[in-house]
Amino acid sequence: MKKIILSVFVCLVSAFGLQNANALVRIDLTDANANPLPIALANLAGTSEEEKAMGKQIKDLIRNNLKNTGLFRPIDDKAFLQSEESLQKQGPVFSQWRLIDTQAVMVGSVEIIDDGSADKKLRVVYRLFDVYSEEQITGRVYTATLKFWRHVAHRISDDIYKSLTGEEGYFATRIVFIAEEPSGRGYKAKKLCVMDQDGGNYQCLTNGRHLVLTPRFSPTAQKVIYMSYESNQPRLYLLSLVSGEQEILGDFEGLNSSPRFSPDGNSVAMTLTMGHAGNPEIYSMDLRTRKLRRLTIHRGIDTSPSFSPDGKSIVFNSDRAGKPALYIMDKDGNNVRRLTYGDGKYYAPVWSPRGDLIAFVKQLNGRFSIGVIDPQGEEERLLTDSYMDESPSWSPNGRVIIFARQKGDSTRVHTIDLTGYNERQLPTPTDATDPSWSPLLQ
Amino acid sequence: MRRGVLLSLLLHIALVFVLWVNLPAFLIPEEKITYINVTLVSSPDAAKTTKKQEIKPVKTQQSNAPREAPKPKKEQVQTPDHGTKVVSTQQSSKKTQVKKQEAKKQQKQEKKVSEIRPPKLDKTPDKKPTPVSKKEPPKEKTEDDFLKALSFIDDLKNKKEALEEGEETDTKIFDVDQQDIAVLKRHIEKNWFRPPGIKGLNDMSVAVLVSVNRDGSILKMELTHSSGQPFFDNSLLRAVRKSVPLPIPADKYDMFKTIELRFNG
Repeated sequence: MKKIILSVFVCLVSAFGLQNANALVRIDLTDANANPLPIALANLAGTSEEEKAMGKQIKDLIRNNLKNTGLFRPIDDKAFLQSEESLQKQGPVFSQWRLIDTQAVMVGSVEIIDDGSADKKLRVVYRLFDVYSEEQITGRVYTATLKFWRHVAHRISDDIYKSLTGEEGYFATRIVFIAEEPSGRGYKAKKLCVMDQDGGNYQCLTNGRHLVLTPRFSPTAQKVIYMSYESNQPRLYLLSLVSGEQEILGDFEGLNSSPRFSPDGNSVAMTLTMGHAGNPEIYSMDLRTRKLRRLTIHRGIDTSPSFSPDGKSIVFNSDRAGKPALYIMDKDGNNVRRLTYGDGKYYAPVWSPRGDLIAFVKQLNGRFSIGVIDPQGEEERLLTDSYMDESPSWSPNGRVIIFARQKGDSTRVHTIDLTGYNERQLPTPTDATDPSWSPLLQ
Repeated sequence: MRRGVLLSLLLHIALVFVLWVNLPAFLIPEEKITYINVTLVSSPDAAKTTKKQEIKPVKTQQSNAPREAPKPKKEQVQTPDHGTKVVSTQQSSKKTQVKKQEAKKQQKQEKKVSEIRPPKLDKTPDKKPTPVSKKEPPKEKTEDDFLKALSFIDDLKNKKEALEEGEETDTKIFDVDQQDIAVLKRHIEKNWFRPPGIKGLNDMSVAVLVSVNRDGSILKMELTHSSGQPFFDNSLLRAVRKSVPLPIPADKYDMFKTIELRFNG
């Protein structure tokens, strides 16, 4: 008996031993380093002083772009071990770049071509290398008119961003917003203005004599739809940034407000009060036929529609259940379902171009926050907390939210990453509200 | 009756366990057996090679008489060829068991002799101590056997580890392996720059098979399962390359020769 037990035991032990012996060392990784990715950006080389200066300018702009995302940590030029001359002659010596702990290194050159025409041409070549595999990650040649050098730098930033994060960049974009200036007549003049996402190329499109509100960029074209009192009535205008042409989008009785383009740019959802005793309802308009279609029929207030990126659903704000909350309906108005059930009031929903989140403003205990929630309504997160945060809008890659924050009597435009980190104030010459992000410029 | 039932129960449990544990390794011919032998036998092999290299420094540093004594045992173990070794371990363990049992018998006889005296005084207290004494010793014996069978392996490993570490039980060795893996895991994760807030991270999975040199450098690296996102695959490959030299315990190189790194979001 004991012998049997013993032998069985021995068998088990040996079998177990064999099992262990068979095991391959397998490591399940879970966490990762959440710090910004270190990246080295060398000055773009040039032969003349002008080219060298331009190369540095472009590099500095790329550096600024990448740094502002919060996802990259550009390494100080002073830490570079390989000299610029050596870089030009023999390309990057990766062992030296590994020593300064960078993951990737960008090198390139700038050429300014004066072909006798009015505008000089700019030709930029760059390559981004993986310092560890010693292979090229990406690389391109851009040729443009010299005065568009900022755009070239933004495009290169987008390339680098995409190759290292897997998402489209958002640097070659513009932001339209309402600039508020003291008019000298006791109130603030409101102008429709537009600038690059980094604050460059600032210009205003209206003169400030009339109240303008809620500008929205078309997701496909350089067009802006906004609300204006130019005709002394609140009406929606469609403005082409390329041609400067402007037209009224229908002239309906009552309030015309909170427009939002569909993802294909062919229709607009908006709020109108016509014909139902001042009760705001949501309509959609086909921009080609100008045909109007009513989507909501409810005695409560329905407003702030925003399309999902597939164009099949619309998220909107309604107080039909007593207090303002967010609802989702199909694009034809059917199948309305409530999205938010939390405490407080929800306003201004915007569906992320990535589709995975909906941003909103939440009012709770006298404070306003920007928050995000998934379209199933399961996980709600508040990203900011302040006395007055409003007007959220997504970057075209669905990564960053831009919003207006009021502090005292001054309102400025801020951005925040969807992780809730990296909150920044955008440089605007005056107060700014109602920001809206453009699609990626080509 | 009870014995029969107990026996069959034990055998059944054993059978289930053995099946669960993949015993068919015995039945499956060369591949697994050779694989098995590599790990079990490799330690003495490694010991051989390391001995040749290390003997001199070890002798200059320290010379321990007791450690030299076990060598003949090892030689006995090492003489059988790879294929037969598994059997040989069992045989030897059986032998040791037999020896132990003989020893036990002798002990029992001695005990019986010693126990002859108390029964004369009282019968009731006698019955209680005797079953206890019977039950307890077999447990100790099985444990002894267990430990001896393991100490067999320990000997191999100890030889490999030369004089640095003394006695280690098998469980301890297992713990250390987990610790080594944790160290490696942390080291690579620290070097893995992965942008936060990636869309669909929870659906991404990557696997990389890394062959490591003895000095912790990478001999070969292969992406065995791609996430479908080049940037993500590359970020992990970069992390592994940045992690060189990989912190692999020098004495367990055979175990860490090939490592599979996985991420399942």
